[in-house]
Amino acid sequence: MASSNSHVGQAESEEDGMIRVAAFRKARHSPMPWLINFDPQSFNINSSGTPTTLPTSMSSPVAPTGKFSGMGILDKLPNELLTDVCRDLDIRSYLRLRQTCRFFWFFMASLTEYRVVVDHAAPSLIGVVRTDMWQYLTFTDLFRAMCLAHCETCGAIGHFLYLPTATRCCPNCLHEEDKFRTVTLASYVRVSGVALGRVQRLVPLLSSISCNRYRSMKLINFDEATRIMSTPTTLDVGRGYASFNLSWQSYTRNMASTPLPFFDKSTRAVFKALTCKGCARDYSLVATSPLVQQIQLAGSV
Amino acid sequence: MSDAKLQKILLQSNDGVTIDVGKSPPLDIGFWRTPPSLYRAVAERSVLIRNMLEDLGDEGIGNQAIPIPNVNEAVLKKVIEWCDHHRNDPVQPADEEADTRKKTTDIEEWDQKFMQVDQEMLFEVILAANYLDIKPLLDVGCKTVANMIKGKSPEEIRKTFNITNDFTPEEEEHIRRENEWAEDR
Repeated sequence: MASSNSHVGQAESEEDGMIRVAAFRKARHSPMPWLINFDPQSFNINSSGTPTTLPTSMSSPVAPTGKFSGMGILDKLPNELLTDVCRDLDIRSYLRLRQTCRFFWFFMASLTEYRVVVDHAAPSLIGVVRTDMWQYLTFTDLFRAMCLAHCETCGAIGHFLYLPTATRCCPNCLHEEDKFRTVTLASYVRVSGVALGRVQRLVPLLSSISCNRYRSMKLINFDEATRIMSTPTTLDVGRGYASFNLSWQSYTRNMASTPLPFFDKSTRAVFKALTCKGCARDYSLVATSPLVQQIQLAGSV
Repeated sequence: MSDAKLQKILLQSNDGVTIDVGKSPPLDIGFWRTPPSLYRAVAERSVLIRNMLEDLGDEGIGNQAIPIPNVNEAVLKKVIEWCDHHRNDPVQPADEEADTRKKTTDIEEWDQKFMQVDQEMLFEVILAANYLDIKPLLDVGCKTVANMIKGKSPEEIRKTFNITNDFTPEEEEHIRRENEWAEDR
């Protein structure tokens, strides 16, 4: 890709500064800031020993030497069809197919969706892998969300990605909209009466990242589960299942979201943080780009 | 024939066999499955053929067979079978921006069965769909291939598609290190 100025895990820049402020504000609003964010300089303390940067060979594989040989039967497909197949692959399968032979190693590192995500959204990608959502999301999903600047629910500026549905959202919607209701697998199973095995097999399961003294939890999006399992939307939640409880929601929803930069397709510029209605003014000093200003104007009506 | 829809369409595969869209197997088992008025609708699932028919005009078609030079008989029949089953599907707009997140596993049951063929045939059908410009069939094909890859380890993927591991030992080491962070937890 043309713009090589932004390296994986690069040192702090203005844009990084913006996202740190955003993360901090989010931290202040919720008592337990379990925001998935592997930005090394962010306020979120990463205690689990996870690397905070991607291996460099993911963004720039060593130059090919020798010739490609063993593609097997996939050799039949022209490159543009292989691209289509790769776009359909979840991130885990994508990375695994890439390891099978030299052709895929280089070919799959050159796909736009992959490049943009690996080069510009490394912390988000690590979050996706660490929460096990890589089995369900594709690079195309992440790329699509990266190309959006606005919350898909309310249209305000939104710099978070809600992982179970790969939806871009703003902090307000993330915490208030019913469609982001995130519950533990255990409580969903108890309330709905659906067999545990079926839910595990069919509904995307997010493993929250263990943080300080909190162990990892299996989380699901309630709406997704309801849709897939065809359970009633109004379940009896009055029996004290913790994760349905409103106060727990602010934790579980945080556990299922990560900051996601905005990628402007037309200029190929990347904005590491976008601001939401309420706090737009906090960033007015660093937002020098006309595009950011424009977005802020649109969002802070 | 004045009614365009009543026209029979003849296609000629690259091995010289003329196939009557409407009488080719499995349609001749039950002729009523494809009423004559739908011959053209079946063939027009292919954008390539639709454009050809438009260029030829109603008189131009006659009883002439349309040559399909890149596709052999078996594959062409398979593709027509798909077109026949999907002849009434609405033509989807070619708006790529509008497509919402679609799950790869979402393949219609009929299509899943249709794609249960050997790998050789699967790839031939995909190539034919690409050549004939049948977007929905191409999507189904690519998704089927993607589903064959999903959930497998690199070694299993190699076995499935007969891929040879052609990395040098140094490259192998590189890859192992690169994937450590994601796989080993």
